[in-house]
Parts: sequence; structure tokens; C-alpha cells
Amino acid sequence: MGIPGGNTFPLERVIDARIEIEDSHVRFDYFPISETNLYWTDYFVSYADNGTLYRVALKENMIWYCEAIVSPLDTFTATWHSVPGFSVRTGSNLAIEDGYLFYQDEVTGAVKRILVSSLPQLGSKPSDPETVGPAGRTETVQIAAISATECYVFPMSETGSDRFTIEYCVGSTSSAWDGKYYDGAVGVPHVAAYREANTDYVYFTDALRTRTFYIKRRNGFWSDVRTVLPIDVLDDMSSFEFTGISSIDGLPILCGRLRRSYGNIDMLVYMIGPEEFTAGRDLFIDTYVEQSYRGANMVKVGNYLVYDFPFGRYIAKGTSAVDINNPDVISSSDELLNFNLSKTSNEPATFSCQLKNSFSPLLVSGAEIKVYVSINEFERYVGKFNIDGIVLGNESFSKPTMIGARSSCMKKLAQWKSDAPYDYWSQTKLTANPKDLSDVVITTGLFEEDTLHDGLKQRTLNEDGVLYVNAKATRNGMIRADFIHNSMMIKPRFGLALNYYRETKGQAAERLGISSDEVEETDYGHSGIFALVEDSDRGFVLNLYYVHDNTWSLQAQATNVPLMVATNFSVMMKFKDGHIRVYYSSGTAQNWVLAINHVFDHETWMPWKRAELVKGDAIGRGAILLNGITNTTTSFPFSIDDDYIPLLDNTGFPTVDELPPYLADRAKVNVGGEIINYASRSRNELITGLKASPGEVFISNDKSKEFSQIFADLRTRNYIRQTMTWPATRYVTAVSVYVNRLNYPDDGLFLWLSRDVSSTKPVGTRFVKASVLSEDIPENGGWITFLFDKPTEGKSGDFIVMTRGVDAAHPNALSYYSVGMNSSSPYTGGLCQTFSDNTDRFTTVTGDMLFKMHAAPITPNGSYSIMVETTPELSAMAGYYNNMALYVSAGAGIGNTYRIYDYVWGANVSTFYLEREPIALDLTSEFTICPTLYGLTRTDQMAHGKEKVDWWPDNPSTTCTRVDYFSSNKDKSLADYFEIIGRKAGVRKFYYDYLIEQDIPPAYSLAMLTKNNFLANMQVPYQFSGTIDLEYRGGKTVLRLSSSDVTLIVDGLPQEVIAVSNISGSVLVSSWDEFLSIWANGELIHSFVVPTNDPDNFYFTGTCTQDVFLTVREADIRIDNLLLDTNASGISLINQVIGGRRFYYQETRDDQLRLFNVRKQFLTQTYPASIATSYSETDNNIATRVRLEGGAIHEHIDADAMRQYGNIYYEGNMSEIYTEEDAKSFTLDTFNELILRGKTRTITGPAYIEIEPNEIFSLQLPNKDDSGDVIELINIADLSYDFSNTESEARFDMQITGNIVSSQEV
Amino acid sequence: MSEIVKRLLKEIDSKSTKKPDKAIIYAVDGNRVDIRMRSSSTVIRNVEVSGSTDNLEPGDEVAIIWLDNRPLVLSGGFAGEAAAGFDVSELSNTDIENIAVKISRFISGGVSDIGNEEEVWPTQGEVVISDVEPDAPAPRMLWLDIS
Repeated sequence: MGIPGGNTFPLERVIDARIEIEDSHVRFDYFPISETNLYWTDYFVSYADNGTLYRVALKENMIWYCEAIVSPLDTFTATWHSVPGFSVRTGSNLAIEDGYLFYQDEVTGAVKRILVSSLPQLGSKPSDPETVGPAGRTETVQIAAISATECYVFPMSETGSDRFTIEYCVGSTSSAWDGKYYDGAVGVPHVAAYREANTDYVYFTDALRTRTFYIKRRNGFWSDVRTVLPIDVLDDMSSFEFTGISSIDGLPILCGRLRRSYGNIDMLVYMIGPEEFTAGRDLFIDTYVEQSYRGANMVKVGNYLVYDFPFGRYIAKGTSAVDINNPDVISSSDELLNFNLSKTSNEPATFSCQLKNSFSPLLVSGAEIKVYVSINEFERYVGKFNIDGIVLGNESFSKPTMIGARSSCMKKLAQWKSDAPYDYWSQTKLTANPKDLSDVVITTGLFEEDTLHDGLKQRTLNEDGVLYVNAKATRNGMIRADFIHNSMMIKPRFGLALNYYRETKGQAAERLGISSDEVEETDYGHSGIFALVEDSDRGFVLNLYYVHDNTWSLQAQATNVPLMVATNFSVMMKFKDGHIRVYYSSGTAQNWVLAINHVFDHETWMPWKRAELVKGDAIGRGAILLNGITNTTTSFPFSIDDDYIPLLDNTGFPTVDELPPYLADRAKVNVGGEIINYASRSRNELITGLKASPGEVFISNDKSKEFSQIFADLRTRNYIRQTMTWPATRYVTAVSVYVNRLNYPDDGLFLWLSRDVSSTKPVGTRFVKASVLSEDIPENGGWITFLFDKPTEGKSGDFIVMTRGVDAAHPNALSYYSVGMNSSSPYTGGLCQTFSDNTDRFTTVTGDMLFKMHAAPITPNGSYSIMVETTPELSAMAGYYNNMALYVSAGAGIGNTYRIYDYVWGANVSTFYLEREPIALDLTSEFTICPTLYGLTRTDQMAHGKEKVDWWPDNPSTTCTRVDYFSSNKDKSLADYFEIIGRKAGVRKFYYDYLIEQDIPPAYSLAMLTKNNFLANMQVPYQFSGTIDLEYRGGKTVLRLSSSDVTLIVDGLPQEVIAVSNISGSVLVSSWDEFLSIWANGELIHSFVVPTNDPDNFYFTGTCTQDVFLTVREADIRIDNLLLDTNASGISLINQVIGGRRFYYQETRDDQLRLFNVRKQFLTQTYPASIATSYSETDNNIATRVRLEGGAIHEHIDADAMRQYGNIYYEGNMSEIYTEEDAKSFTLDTFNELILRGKTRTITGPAYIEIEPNEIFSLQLPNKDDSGDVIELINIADLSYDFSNTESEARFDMQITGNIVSSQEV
Repeated sequence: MSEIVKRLLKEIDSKSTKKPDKAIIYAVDGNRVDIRMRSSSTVIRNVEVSGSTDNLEPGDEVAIIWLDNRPLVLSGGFAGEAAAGFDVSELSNTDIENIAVKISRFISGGVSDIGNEEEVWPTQGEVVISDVEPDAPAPRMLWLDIS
């Protein structure tokens, strides 16, 4: 009749059916050991071969051995015995692979191997076990064997490591992983390895054995470190410590201990890998009991699974769940009375049947049921279903057994629910011009747009300006930025960073021990790995720094960096698990030069600051840094009118005279935003701690103070006068006297100089005076100095007068002052007298006042001056400090600065002459002499305090024009997410429809797609010759692979060349919008930014004549992110990830979960006589014009549909649309779905089991008005089969309900 | 079977899952945060924040809403703090309702009963509406403290 497999529709049919039941769930039972007990071991491994279970243990550096014939399984009768002669390194482990035992020799430290089966025959250790890898080692290693001759080792100290690397060892060689695992805690990880499809999977736990990781290696490429479980390294509510991984007939089974908090979840589990591990119904071994399972793994003995550990074992019957065909769990029956099978897309197929009897104890809910139908003795497999429910019958009462079931894979999806909101991410991609400030965020610095160079530049110099890239923080990744440095006079300091982190306000407060409110902008800790272009004495260099809370630590340097002014200079840094590579590219060069190749190794810091805050939180952001270096210093305060700038240091500020004439205008500085030109520079010295001096003592009575003598008490309003002999006329600055304060007088003391005594002026005429407050007068006597406002001329006959305040009695008569006197050896140059207002006369007292008269050393000529006590640092050269400045650093008048125009040195007192009058100084004042720039030209004058002063020969001149940032995460497609969810639910086999699936040389390839955004997977031969070209956008953008590099070619011109040796194995290329990324065996090779304004055409070509297996699945559409809802079923999660995309999934009849987009279409068929049809149509819920909006917008009409139905508009929003290509594709898909709803065909006839829902079935049928025949394409929506087998007849029919895609008259 | 168990079984049988509306800040990294749901074992990364992250610290509980299957943290919207006072005696009930509605839009939360003597917002305490001195002589002030 013409139907494919035409024997399906014979008119004469003999029909029969049978079912096969398998209780496929794996159930483990515990068996205590029956062999002799070792009681404890240091390590344990076992493996099985031909029904023999080999067990090897490490105990007290000795190897113990036990061999058992496992039949029956629960009666081991073997005996442990030690193998003499071996001495294994303490702290190391054992590993078994392919019949060989690997161990570390105690003496040499070498890893050695020996055939396990030879152990029982050995009376002693063989003389020469073979060495694998280096002949000797000092460090203890953990061993993970991968084959009979190869292994991976983890070197560490005997007590473990907080960071470790991995070596691959074969023969006498070893090659190390280029990265490191940084744990943060010290311990010994548990390790193992597994090989599948030429890829090695190396598993290890963290030091505390709460998380399990793996890394892949193939052809020398090492993937990123990824987690097995928990999926999120920060999951502190789950932990998984694997105990071993093994192959069960090629199926990798990982066993371990899984714990979850809040309950009693602590169990031994097994999962099927080697990457996305299953975690469905088949998971549980037993609850965990505290004992050593380390090294224990699953082995197959006969048809049994054995989880073997030192002190017992769990045994289960093998089933198809672990790919074991075990007759013990399978039963068959042909007493099938009837069955019904209904299928619809994106839902489990439902199966129900009736059996004459219950026939087997294996018939339980959860068992698998396989259905076969034979037509004319040609048996066809209908499908596999998982039993939902059973109603047992009774054959004696003719009551059949009824079974309800669902398609097996789909039931797993429907039944499994996620136990955490896992957050999956594809590669983070970003390219931006920083000037937009939409994709970068400023953390420090001031920036402005550089319109000339179309980028962003800093507005300041000598200040690191940091901007982080506004993309997701990642563990590993790469950053590239383009810079232009435009000044010969400003030294460059620019570059980029990975693992950047700026702490929060709370973290800064905690680190600094202050409150959050006190945290200033400069207090925040910045951390990261920075690569900066800088100027050194030997030219431009690239410096690699670790920065930890603002502490910079130089780690590596590349010299002779060819930075040229006004020329593009690109810097790129890649970070992969501690391996840091820094590249540069200058001008229009296409090649990246590897300048720094370094592995992070700091004694205490982690590569990621966040990992120090929270264990495992090993992520950071990308950042760029802009700065320009000139000489910089700090100013002392100066005023709006000052013609000088006081500085800490004025070296490196060239004067006009020092600069070439054409650069004379570059003698300028920036002080707090004011640009100031300067002409000259003072001497550069800084002298601190100068103390104010009252002046040189020129007359004094400073003899011994005789406290037994009476003081001249100033209890009442008395005056005390002391005359003296003047050596000459002097400019008096101050007078010091010795005074004692008794109790607490409120008033102070006054002292003045008087002359010209007369009868009406008994204390003379006062010509200068000063006072001292009560609190400044010592209670037990001491010198106090009366400082005059300015030096005042004194001459022969002038004398001192002292008195109290106006109300001399306050507060009482017991509070007063006494002036220190000296009577035993009195001053001979004058007299001391007291004067009382009451008596109105002078009385000469015995003795004299103790006094010192101070004077300026020279005639001040009316200038302002400051005198200081001479110190050894002060120069004796007159005018030495001219044009420098005097800053009041402490005491009265603090904060003021005065320019020095003259200087006179004195042995005791030195004098600085100032431009302006000093303010509020006294003897508490202290000074600093500082250098200056002077001869200023100021246009926007401002007053300044202590501020940063930058030499400002140019405006800031480093511009960043582009920054790219990528994480190393592999891009994940819809198919990848489909598989991730499916495997978690326990589904292991997947089927995809391919856009490209070919295994031929690129040189002969015809592979072509009319799209650009997709993921392409390749299997590339090792050391291939020629090139492999992936040509996007009609060939205008080419990614060319050769055995030495990967090159991006745009419009025929190479743009970037990435050196990579022997790229091969599993290669993934992701094209998404303006990004092109390539991974080899899980390692990110590079990410490119490419043009997007070219046609949507992809070609696969090149000159390579070796086969390259290229696949592009329909569902290889990149999905940026997927957040799996917790407690959601697999089906709802898959629906969530599919979203608005027109993808469908179903279970194939050979137990694979299929995801597809384009419906399979059968060839045109003639009309089978036995088929009945009906036709219906509607215009409800259809559309002839469709518009979708998301990241892009597209609108589509179909002329035929518009003519037929008119204008029926539909508009939708779709978050899955990122690009214009997405918008076009989704709009067309949506239109096709909506227009399909118009016409429906129902077909009933003999069963044809090869078709599935969502396939397009082509049939020749009567026209709807019976006017003739048409060939219709029918999209199958629902499909049901009915089988019945009675004594009178057997029947196997189907009914199809579908939408008519097209109809053509015959 | 208790009513509670019946209700739980009904929820288990239903296919809908209610998305959480609160989360704990796990880390603050610049303008993004990492969060975890109350009972969740895993961290959701790179979550956008509506408002400023300046005053967010690990351990803070915040309100979240969901956009395109990703959470969005509502931090309060202000980098600093804001407060406003209204003389209740001069406000009609309609005025108070209007204030409430506007603020509820701001935090995407709801106002349950503005007439209570003291009403603490059920989300974060980001917005507190209270009669600060209920016993004080008139005028009584309605205070909105937004932090």
C-alpha cells in the first residue's frame, strides 16, 4: 500500500502481542563480612574480575590482600594476609586499575605499580615493581589510577595541603596541570579517575571532604574544575564525599556519602556519570553508618552489583538501570488481553492493559514493562513503560489483572523534583566602550569621555581609577581592554584585573575595627589580580600584582613592552584555576604576545578575595584601571592670594628654565582642581619640629632660685618693679619671670616695660605690655614668658612692672601669686621694688626678681618674623631658606603657612622673616620648613589645605576604548539544559535531531546553515594538517583552526591570532550575536568579538583532509541562564527552559528522550482502503499576522493565509529573544503553530507504530467534499493505539488527530 | 488524617510552585548581590538590585520579585534614608490610603491596615509607618521612615 514499511498495513493480518516485565529498581542489601577482619585499615580498594573479588588494604604501611570467589555472594570465605616486603608511604593511598595496584614507595617516594593477581603468589615483594612517573619524590602523593600504566597524582605534605596541583604520570614522565586547587583548609583529598572516550575525568574532594569536584583532561588540555555534588560549591546544606568511581560494563558509577541538613539525610548513594550525574529514583544504597568507606566503589560480580568496603558490603541484583541484562529480574507473558496506548507531545505516553493473570512477583509498581506486537509474525517493539499501578486479578473468576503505566523516561521526568534552585550559567560575555558607563561601574576615580579617541579617560593623575565590568562575577575567565596613551610626559599606569572585589561597608568596618558610619570612601578594601602597563627605569613594563585589601604585591614583570604614544595598545589577562597569563598586542598587530605566564602562589592570600570571606566562594569580577603618573606630592595650606605653593617635596617639578622652550608651559601643577603655572622651585628640604622662641636673652637675673626667700606677693593690687642695666638699645620680644601660683586666683598676671617715672606716674609710662593667664602659671613655681605682640625698642632706664588683674582679691585672699626672688646673690644692675596703691609709695625689697629679657637678634626693620630655637638641622647660611615656607605644624596658629623671604641664623635663636604677619602664634607653636614652587600664575584661585599636588604637563592622557570580559563557563544550549534536567531525573539516553551531523574532512565538507547563532561541536583529530574553517556570516567572519593556532579572520584579514598547540579532541564553538567562543576539551581557548551586520550563512570548510566529526543539533541554541525552580518536576523545568521556543520532546520507542524542533515528515502516500477520516475546521485562535517582541522585534505575515482568513493579528512578548535572528526564527515558528490550528483531520485505521506525535504524516485522502483526492500533510497532535485479543478476533488499530499543514489536489 | 496533612498532600499533588518573595543576602559585590532563599541550599548569583546596595550586608533579609524567572532584590530604592511626617489630623482617610498606595507601589508590597496604631511593613521593615507618639497631644504625626 505504499506506507513506509509497507507490511504494516496488510489487509490480511495475524496479530499477537506480548509483554516483558522487569523489576528494574536496584535494591541493595547489607552483608557483614565473613572473612577474617582487619579491624581497621588506612586505605582500601577492591575490584572484580571474572567473578573473583580482589580486595587490597593498606594498614600500617603494609599491603594486605584478600581474594574471594563470589559465589554465592553472601558467603565470602577468604582470608586477609599481608604481603611482605612492601612499605607504603604514610599518608598516601592505594589505587587499582586494570588489574594493577598503584602505591607510593616509602623509601623513594616513587609511584609504583604491580599486578594485583600476582600478590597471592608473592612470598615477598617483587624486586622491581614498575615505577610510574618520576623515580623519586619527596612529597607524599595521593594516587588516582587511570589505566594499567597511567595515573594521576596529587602531591602534598604528609598532613595534606590547602592547595594542590595534579600530575599526569605515564612511563617515567609526568606533566602537571597548569592550575591549582586552592582550598583554604588543610586536609587530604580523596581522589580517583575514570577514562571515557579518550577523556580522563579526575575526581577529588576538597580538603574537608564535603564537596566533590572533577577536572577533565584530554590531549594536554585541562578543563575548569567543576563540582559533582553539591552542584553549587556554596551549598552548605548538602555535602557529598565520593568514595570511589568504577566502570560497570562501561557505565561509570560514582559512589559516596550524601548529606543534607535539617533531618536524617545521611546516606550512601550511587550515581551514573561521568559528568552530569543521575539523581533520580536509582540513587540509594543505604543509610550511612560511621565507619571507613574511603576507597570503596561499585563492582560487578556476575549479575550482581557489589558496593564493597573493608568491613562489609552491599549487594544488589543488577538490572537495566545499570545496563545489566539480568534474567533474574525479568519475566515475560503473552497473555495480554488488550492494551491502549495514547501519545501526545510533551507529555508522558499513557499505557494501560489487561492480563489474564498476575503471572509474576516481578509485577510491581515502578517495574518496567516492554510491549511487543507481532503482525503476520513480524514482531514490532511498541515501547517501554513504567508501571504506575496494578490491580491484581483472579484468573479463577475470570477477573483480569489491570496495569496502568507511563512511558518510562517521561515518567522519570514527571516524578523527579528538584531539591534546590540550581542556578546555571552559560559563558558571561560582554564587550563595551567604557565611555558609555552602562557596562562598567566606577569604584574609584573621576572620569570623563574622551571624544577625540572615543573612549573613557580619567580626570586626575596619580590616582588609580578603577571601574569594574558590570557582568557576572566568575571563577575563571578572561578580560581584554584597548588603551591609547597619548602623552610622552605622563608615565603610563593602566591595565586590567580579574578576580576583582571591593568589600562592602560592613566588611570594611569590621576589618578596620570601626563602625559602618565611620567608613570613608578610601577605607574600602580593593582586591584582585592586576596586570598594569607601567614605566620603569628601563622602559615600559607589564607588572602583575596581587592586590589584597589595597596592599599591592608585585609578582611578575615583563620588560620591553612596546608601548607607543598615541597608538592602540591592548592588554589581555586570562585566569584559570590559578594559572595567570597576561598578553599584549600593540598597534594593529594580530598576534597576542604572552608576556607573563604565572601560577598564583601567595603564602596566605587566595586568588579570590571572596573565597577568604566564605570558603568556596571563589569568584571575582573583571575591572580596568586607568591612571597617569607624574611627580606628585602634598601641599601645605596656602591662600587664594599666595604666590607660592608649600609642598612636602618639590623634586620632579621642573621649572620653566629646566624645560625645553617649547615645553615651557608644562611647568604647572594641579592642586585640588586648580591648575597653577609656576616659574621657580625653592631649595628642597623639609625640617620639622622647630619650636617657637621668645628671642635671644640679653639681660637676665637667672641665678639660683631661693624659695626660702620671701616672694613678692601679689595679693592685693600691688605692683612689683625691677630695674636693670641695659647693655644697649634692643628690640625686646618677651620677658620671662619666675612665678609661683598659690591656690586658684581667677586673674592672670600683667607685665609691661615702663620708662619715665614721675611723681604723677610712680610706675612710669608703659610702652609695651603682655599678660599670662592664671592657668598658664605653674602652681609650684616656674618660668613664664610674657610675649609682646611685636619686637619693641627698649633702652637704658626702662624697667619691668608686674601686677595682677583688676580685682586682685578674687576669689579670696588665699589665692595669689608670688614672684620668684633672689636675695643671697642679688642682681647688681638694678633694684626690685613694690608699690602699693594703699600707701602710694615704693618700697625696696631685699633681693631681685628672677627675669630674662628677650630680644630679636637684629633690627627687624618693620618686617614680620618668627623666631625658633636653633637646632642642628638649621643652616647657618644667611638667606638659606629664602623662598621656602614655614608651616605652623602644632600649637597656636596651627595650619598656617608663611613664605620666608629672609633668614638669619643664631646660635640659640634663628629668625625667619615673612611676607605677611603671622597669626596667633605663641611659644606653643611649632614649625616645619618646607619647599615651595613659586612665581605662580593663577587664574582660578582657590584656597588650599593639605592637598594632592600633581605635576600637570598634560591633561590625563590614557584612554580606554574597549573592554571585553568573558567567563570560562562553557556555553550551554537548550539541548544541554534538556540533558542536565533529564539526567538528574534519571534519564540516561537522549536523542536529538541534527542540523549538521557529518564526519568528513573539512576540505570536502558541504555543511551549511542559514543561521549564525548556534553551538557547533567537533571531534578534531590530534595533530591534524591544514586548516579547519568555520565561516560565519556568509564567510565574512572566519574562525580558522590549525595545529598551532586559532585565528579570527574578518573580511579576509586576520584580526587576532591565538597560539594554541594541537587543538584537538572535543571542540565546542559558540556563535552568539557578536561573540565567538571556542573551548577545547572543556578549556576556554578564547573568545572573540566579531561584526554582526552580515548575512546569516554558515559554512564549514578548510584544507584539512582528515575526518572531523561536526554536529549541530537543532537545540544547540545558547541559553544564557537557567534558574531551576526548587521542588519543580523535571517536566515543568523542561517546559520552563523551552519557554516560548517551538521545541517538542517525547520518548522514542527505544527509550531515549528526544528533543526536536523540525517535525519529521513522511513521504506522500496513497490512500489505504481501511482508513476512515473526518475533517473539521475553525478560525478560532489562529493568526495570519504575528509580531513577537523581546530583545529584538519581528513581524511576519503570510499572503495566502491573509487572503484566506483576512487580517488576524497576534502579538506576543518572548523573553527568549535576544537577537534579531531569534526574533525572526521564533516569529515564523509561532506563525506556523497558530495557522496550523485552522484545519483538523482525524484518521482511524490499522495501527502504524512508527509514527509519533508532532511528526508530519503525508497521506492521500478524499477531499473534504468527496470531490476527489488530496495529498495532505498532517501534523500529528494526538495518537492512540488499541489492541485487543479475544477468542474471536485480534485487533490493532490507531486513531490520529492532527492539524492539516497543507493540502494539494491530486 | 489531619487537615494539615490533607492540605499538604493537596499541595504535593498540585503542579504549581509558589516562588519565594524573600531572600537572604549572601554576598554583596558592587551593584549586584548573591542571594539564597530561606530554605535553599544553593546561592543564586548576580542578582540585580532595585535601589542601592550601599546599605545591604550579607545576612540581610530582603524582599524579592521575579522577572523572567530571575529574582530582583528590592533594596528600598534609596542610597541614604528618607523620612516624611504628616499631621494625621489634617489628613482624610482617603489621603492616608493614597499615601499607602503610593508607598506600596514603591516597595511592591501591600498595606494591610493603615489605620492601626502601629503598622510595621511585612517585607523588610524598609518602610515603617507608625504613629510614633500615640499618646501625645494632637497633632499626631504619621511618620514614614524609608531606609
